Amino acid sequence: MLEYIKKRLLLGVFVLFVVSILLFAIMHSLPGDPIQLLAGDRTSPEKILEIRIRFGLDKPVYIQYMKWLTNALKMDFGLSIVTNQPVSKLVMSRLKFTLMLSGISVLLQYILAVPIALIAAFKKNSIFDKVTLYITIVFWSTPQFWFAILLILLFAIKFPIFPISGYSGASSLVLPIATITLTRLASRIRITRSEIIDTLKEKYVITAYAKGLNDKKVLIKHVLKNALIPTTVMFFLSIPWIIGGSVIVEKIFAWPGMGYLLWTSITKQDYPVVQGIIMIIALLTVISNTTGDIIVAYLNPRIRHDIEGKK
Amino acid sequence: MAGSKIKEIFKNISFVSGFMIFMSVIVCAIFADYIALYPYDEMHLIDKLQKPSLTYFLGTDMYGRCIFSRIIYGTRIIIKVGLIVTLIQAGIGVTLGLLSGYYGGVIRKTIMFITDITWSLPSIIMALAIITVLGPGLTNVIIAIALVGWAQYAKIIDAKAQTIKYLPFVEAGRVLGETDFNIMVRYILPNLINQIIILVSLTFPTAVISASGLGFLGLGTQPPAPDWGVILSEGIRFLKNAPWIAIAPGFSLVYTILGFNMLGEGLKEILEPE
Repeated sequence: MLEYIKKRLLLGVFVLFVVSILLFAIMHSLPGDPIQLLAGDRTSPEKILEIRIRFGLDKPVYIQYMKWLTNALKMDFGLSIVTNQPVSKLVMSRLKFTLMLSGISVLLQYILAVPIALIAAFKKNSIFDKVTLYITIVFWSTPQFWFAILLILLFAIKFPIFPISGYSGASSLVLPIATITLTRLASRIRITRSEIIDTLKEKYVITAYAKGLNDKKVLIKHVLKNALIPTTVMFFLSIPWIIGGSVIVEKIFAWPGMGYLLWTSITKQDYPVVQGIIMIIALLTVISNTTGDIIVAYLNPRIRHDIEGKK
Repeated sequence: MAGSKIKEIFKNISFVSGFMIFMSVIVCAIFADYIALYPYDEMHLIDKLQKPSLTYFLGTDMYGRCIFSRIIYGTRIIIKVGLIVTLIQAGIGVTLGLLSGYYGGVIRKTIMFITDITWSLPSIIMALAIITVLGPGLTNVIIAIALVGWAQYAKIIDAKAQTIKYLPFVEAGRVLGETDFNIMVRYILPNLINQIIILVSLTFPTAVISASGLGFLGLGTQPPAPDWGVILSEGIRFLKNAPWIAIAPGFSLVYTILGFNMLGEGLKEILEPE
């Protein structure tokens, strides 16, 4: 098991390395010259060369990459071309707002999805199950940006209860978090429900019933423990996706988070910032993937034995 | 036998309503020229920001373009994005997932490594990066979404194939001397149909949502093309005075995506009767 964890961590680091190379290559094949953009038309060529040297853009690409990588390891992603501030400072000041949204939302999703899915699966084809199914299908079919606009129409224009722009205290959290949570909850419930139904059909569950255990014991000891494996993985995997998806939600609500910063940086061709944000999101994704895989391997005896048998 | 199966299909409410919604969207896409009242980019500046009426069923936007006609033409973009993205993603993902789950070892490591890399970035972020390079536009959006979304197929098919390959009937097939290809396609794949259907019914709407989302951000289909995301983003500035601009494409998106989700749901109930 320890061997597997070590391998998985190594793989994670390697993935990040490859992502960083790809990202650097992508960002350097971008059309448009940010320095020209920054300097404007009337700056003399000498001045432009001076700026290039200051940002290290006169060196060959691989040297630029090596320099960028060693700095990135120290969480130094260079300076923003537009505002001249350190990228890491810019991103860190925004990160907490994005984590606030995604963290609270994931927690709410988990708290809501597991019990609902458990009841729906255990009382399959009951009215509760059917109603849940239809409601989740409707929510699932609603794009986040449209859901956000509906909430704005209802709770900010028709009944002006909540603010819709920027961050000004806890009430600003309500609409963005409601948007993220409710639109994502549907798929969480559905996947968890089908996972639990699958588990209910497993031989060990039938055996547990045959041993004379009651519903509650079977549910908690056998079904929940096994069905929670994929749910937990899903849970871990979804955080970076919420952060990624936050570009749209943050743009609609003018939320001072990383997603909004990414959006403005893309439109302003501020590629040190774009690079920095994407690398941080990649890092978060690799961390959650790795953790998810390790948990699955640890909890699922079939996969665990597969790993330990091969060592 | 076959007759009762067909009856069962027609009794399934999700499938029938989903199928009808889906067909209605396809009919709109094919016959848009006959259904729409005006060309999608025809401006009637005198009639700008008109409420829904008999002349303009869903009202007009800030250039006096007929929203109804724009929505109808927009179905073409939706169908195109959904179909192409789903085909590419399912093709790449299922093939790689099967190979990886069945063979294991070095093959699995290599495939899962590639999968991990595409998986390492949320698709919208990856799509944003690709579009920043390729530039905005529908084709680039399709390429970006298709290339970054197949990882979930590969991951889920791989995980399921790994557990299935240890089941007795697969062992039996191997003992009977079936080739690897046969075991994968005839023994394992049929057991993955439910997963694939679930994934496809996720992919189509996800592709539509991503593409319209990118359109909404101004990176996808460019105006004046009647992309529903583009219409929505134009409508967001007029939410107070002309909310119909945003409402029409919003509900159209939900209608279409709901249709495909219900279709998938119905198919699942029919194919997986418990």
